[in-house]
Amino acid sequence: MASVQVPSDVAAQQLVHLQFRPMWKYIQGIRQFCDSFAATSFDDPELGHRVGLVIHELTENAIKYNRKDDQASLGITLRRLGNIVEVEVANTPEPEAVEGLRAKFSGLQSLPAREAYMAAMRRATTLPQGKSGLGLARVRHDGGMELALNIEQDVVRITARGTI
Amino acid sequence: MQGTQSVELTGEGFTVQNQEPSRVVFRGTVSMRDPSRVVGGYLRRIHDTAVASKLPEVTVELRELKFMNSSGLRVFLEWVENIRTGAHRYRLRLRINKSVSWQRSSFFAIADLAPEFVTVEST
Repeated sequence: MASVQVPSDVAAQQLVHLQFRPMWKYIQGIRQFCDSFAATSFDDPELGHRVGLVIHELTENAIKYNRKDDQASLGITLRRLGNIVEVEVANTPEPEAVEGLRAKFSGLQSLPAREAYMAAMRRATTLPQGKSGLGLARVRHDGGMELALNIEQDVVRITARGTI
Repeated sequence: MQGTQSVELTGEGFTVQNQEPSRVVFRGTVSMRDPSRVVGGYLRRIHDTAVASKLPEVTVELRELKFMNSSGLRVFLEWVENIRTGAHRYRLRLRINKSVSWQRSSFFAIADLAPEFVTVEST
């Protein structure tokens, strides 16, 4: 399984934290803000686009599968760890979605990014309408970031890390 | 969608124009939750016209497409599959913006699924 390791002596620098109700209408504005913020912070427009794409795809997934209640909340954090950029999306999915996510991660992480993306593309048109199954594979391939999944009780945190 | 009449699809944050049967222009940001009916249906009609008219190729201008989510990419994958399984196979020429990294990585990957009839031009 691929991963991006952070040296133990590197301190995390939090750049952005957003906490909001998981609603679809927010996604585009959040992507545009994070794209622009990262481009400015790292003085790298291309990295800004990668961060924006990663946040967009992870946020879409989190909203699609989030628990439906009035207290639902979704958190996005952007950090710098030395020469690594980290995106974390945390939410509380419906319980049945958690096992599906574990299985999806297991399959996705067993392949290199390119192969996983091509496999997801071949499978996409066989899925029910409204689902592409491309999002996580796209984070790795188009976003150039490696993924990690952490589940504690009912909170799911997906972390994407890429080199600057 | 006949002759030179321009048919435009306008969605939230994007437009798609079919200025002539063999030319499609995307502009803006496609981030709908499910674009399969609206965008997919529009592209399906373009495909049906291309097959009925036996067009040799259809060019898709993507240089002014700022962002497309993964559900939008699925619509392109379905287009490729429709060409592969259709009664008339034509070339799909995708013109992308070489300075936009996600366009390069996603559309070249789509072309790799069907190199015999999908071409990417990066300018």
